[in-house]
Amino acid sequence: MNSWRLYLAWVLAFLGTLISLYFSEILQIQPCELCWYQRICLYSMALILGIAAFKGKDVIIPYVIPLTIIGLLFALYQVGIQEIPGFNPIDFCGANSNCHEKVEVGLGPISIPMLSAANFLLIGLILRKNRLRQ
Amino acid sequence: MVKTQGKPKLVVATALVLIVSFFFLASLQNEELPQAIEIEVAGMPTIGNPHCRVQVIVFEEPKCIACKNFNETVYPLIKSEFIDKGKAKYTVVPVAFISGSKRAAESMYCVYHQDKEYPNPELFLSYLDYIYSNQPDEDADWATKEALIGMAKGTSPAINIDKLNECIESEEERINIIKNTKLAEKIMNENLTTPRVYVNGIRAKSNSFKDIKDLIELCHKHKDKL
Repeated sequence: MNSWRLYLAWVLAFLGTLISLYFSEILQIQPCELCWYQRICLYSMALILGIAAFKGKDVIIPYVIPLTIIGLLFALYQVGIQEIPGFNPIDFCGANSNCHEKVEVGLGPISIPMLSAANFLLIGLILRKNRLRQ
Repeated sequence: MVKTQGKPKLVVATALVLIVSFFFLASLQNEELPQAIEIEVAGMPTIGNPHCRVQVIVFEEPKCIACKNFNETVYPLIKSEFIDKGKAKYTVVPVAFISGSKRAAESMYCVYHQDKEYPNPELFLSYLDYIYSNQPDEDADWATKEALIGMAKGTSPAINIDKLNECIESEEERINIIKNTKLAEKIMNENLTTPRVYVNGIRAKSNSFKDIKDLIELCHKHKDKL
């Protein structure tokens, strides 16, 4: 069971990486500042978890969990700005960016930061369960 | 403690499959222009190089606060980056759907058509700018004839106050404003919101300067194929 968790977490991170690149490079949806912070966490995890799943080293997990938490926080914050009018306690983005705009991706009310938050949450849960077993 | 096993072959195989799929899907998308629609704006206030093949059309409402913000933060950037450099022409379509704003929109058109032979888009824009800068609360019924004339006086001595007064009284520009508003309703499929930006008939993804800039540049890239 444990062996699969590293692999699954990596697949999610890698898929997230590829999908985010599809949105920005192929569909030309420009990533805003908040998106970049999430990408820093996600792309790093894709690489690190890939190596860990390859070698079977779950000692990496405590080093990766903080990345899932930070990514989740940024994603949730962005969901907050997009869904709650007037919500913007820390101005990461500035006036000229498109952080606030909820881009249509064919999933109705589900936005890209929502997908991102769900992804970070899932990865975190998969990896944490692994630790608890031991 | 259960030893976690590495899955080298599975990881490499998965990575290859996903990467190949990604490039396959990417190749299916060609860099096409999104759907463009026809927007008939002949005779509406337009500034910038008339020979430009890239035209930015903005639907605005004089009482709307988001339009005021757009005018203050985004419009100056569009002006300095594109209009002043001769890279785009810019058309403002004033509409009126907030209660009490018809008269404000009409008075703007009065100023625009002050000289019937030579419509004056720059004067129109200065007046609009002044109205936005001095825009009271959206709910207040502030667009009285007196208030609008006061704003015209504050805008520029070039505005002929007597003509403006007569024009507002006679409501002669009302038909144009109604026409504009109907045009906006048709284009936006009844979901009339302002400000709304179109570049060469393509709706901008958002009202941020970034998205408008990207769309203008995309239109420039494709303008020879038009």
